[in-house]
Amino acid sequence: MYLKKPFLVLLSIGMIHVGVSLASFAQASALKINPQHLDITTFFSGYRISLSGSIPSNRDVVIEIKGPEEKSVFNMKGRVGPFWMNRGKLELEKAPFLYILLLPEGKKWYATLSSLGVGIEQLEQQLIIRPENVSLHVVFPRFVKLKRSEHLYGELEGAIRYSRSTEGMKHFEAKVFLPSSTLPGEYRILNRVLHNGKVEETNLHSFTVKEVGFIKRVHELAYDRGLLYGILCVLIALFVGAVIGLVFKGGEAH
Amino acid sequence: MSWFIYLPIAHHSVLLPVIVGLGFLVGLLSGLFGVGGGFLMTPLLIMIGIPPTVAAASDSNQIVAASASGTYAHYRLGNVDFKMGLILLIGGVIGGTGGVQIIKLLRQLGNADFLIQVTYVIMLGGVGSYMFLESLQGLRSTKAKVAPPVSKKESAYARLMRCLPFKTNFVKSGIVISPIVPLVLGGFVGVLAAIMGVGGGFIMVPVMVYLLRMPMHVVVGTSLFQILFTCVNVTIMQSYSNHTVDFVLALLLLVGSAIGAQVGTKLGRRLKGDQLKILLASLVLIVMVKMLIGLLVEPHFLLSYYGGD
Repeated sequence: MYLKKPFLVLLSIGMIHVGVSLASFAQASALKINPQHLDITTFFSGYRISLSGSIPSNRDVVIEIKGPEEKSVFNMKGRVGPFWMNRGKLELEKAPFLYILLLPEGKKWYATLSSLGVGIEQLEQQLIIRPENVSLHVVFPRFVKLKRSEHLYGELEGAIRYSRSTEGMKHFEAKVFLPSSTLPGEYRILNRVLHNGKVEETNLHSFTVKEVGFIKRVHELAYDRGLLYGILCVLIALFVGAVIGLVFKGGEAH
Repeated sequence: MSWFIYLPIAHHSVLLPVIVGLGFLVGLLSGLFGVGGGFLMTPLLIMIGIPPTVAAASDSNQIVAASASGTYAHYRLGNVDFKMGLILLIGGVIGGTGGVQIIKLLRQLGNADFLIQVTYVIMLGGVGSYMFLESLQGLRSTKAKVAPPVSKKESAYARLMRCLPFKTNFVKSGIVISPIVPLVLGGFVGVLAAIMGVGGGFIMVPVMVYLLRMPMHVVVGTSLFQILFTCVNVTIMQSYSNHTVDFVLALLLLVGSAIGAQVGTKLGRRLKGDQLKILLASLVLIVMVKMLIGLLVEPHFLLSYYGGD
């Protein structure tokens, strides 16, 4: 009987502690994405999005932005005698169009990425290459080099900054620029909370990029009514060509 | 106001003055030499991040405006031989259709790209060098005192021209030849253009100058007339089949190129035929050297998006 009381007290303390931890993780999972979605308008030139949240002071966070997965077709360059030229066509499936990994400040993370199961190198496992006789090990580094040059793939060390460590929690914030070539579609944002070099919790958020207004209408016309779109393109080109011709003719008279 | 504008099909934003400027530059060349400029514009667009298939298709759309504007400007100057242009166009369409089949066959045999690029370099080098030397000679001879005419032996080509039936007078070009000649030559250029994936303007111009013996100014106007129709066809086909024409990109390019074509035409009037030829020859040789370097030097990226070079 006497033993029960301290046990209940301990249990209560334990439950409160677990409650606090769960609340902390709940806060970690509540990643704030600003803006919550991205609209592509006529004057869109890329956008810097902000990702922020809070985690316990003794944890770290890494954020992965990826998607949409697509099939891409490439020319493979090779040497024929003294000449460099296209040596064939290949297809890569399940490659995310965009992959950006945001890493926190203060540590060297590159060495530990594979143990965390994140990073560009990990993508190689999910890719499917056709024709199958082409080596993915040869193609993958070339693919990554191409994507990095377009700022569509990247591992950004120090991109996540910590601040305000209060009541056992610290605030984190990262700003990442999505280039104008970011395709419309659904992107996945995964924030992983790390403790002692291991992933403790993973939270998934979705982020939508979509075309709106004039851009959306032109896109729809081009894809849904290709013939009409082509004829309109030609008519407008002829009209502009003729108008400019007339303008110059008018200028000539002076 | 932002200077950037988003391209809905290319999925890429571009700096507005850069694209209009590029259009102007290529339009200038178009008005000057009667070339579509695709061989120059497409690589430049790829360089600024436009997907290759979109770059090539949208470029065709802008050439419609530039060549319409240029054809109109040359028509006012009396530099368009419509009869000749139409026959060359018919030949070009027939040849282009045949060329597409040839390229399919070459790809099945393997190493088609190798054959295409090497043929390209040899042809550009040959045409460019011949044109350059010939016009240089022309420029020198006009400066030197007029020598007494020397009677030349008739060439086999000239004899063949004389033998062919259905002689027709091409008034604007000032020549009387059988329409079979431009039909066959148009077909030949169509085959080459289809194999090389270019509009064929810079192959057609030397053909008209050296094989049809047309005056340079009429060549430029007539070439633009022919290119106009070729590019109308390509724009509609690409829009319908591949959805690769970016109207916003084409519109920006064509505003620049239509103005450039007018400026080029006016500039061309101040130049002599040989001066025009030597400038075009230099341009052809520069493209040839660029291609040769591309063949010999290891590319920075060993993977490129399909549809590019």
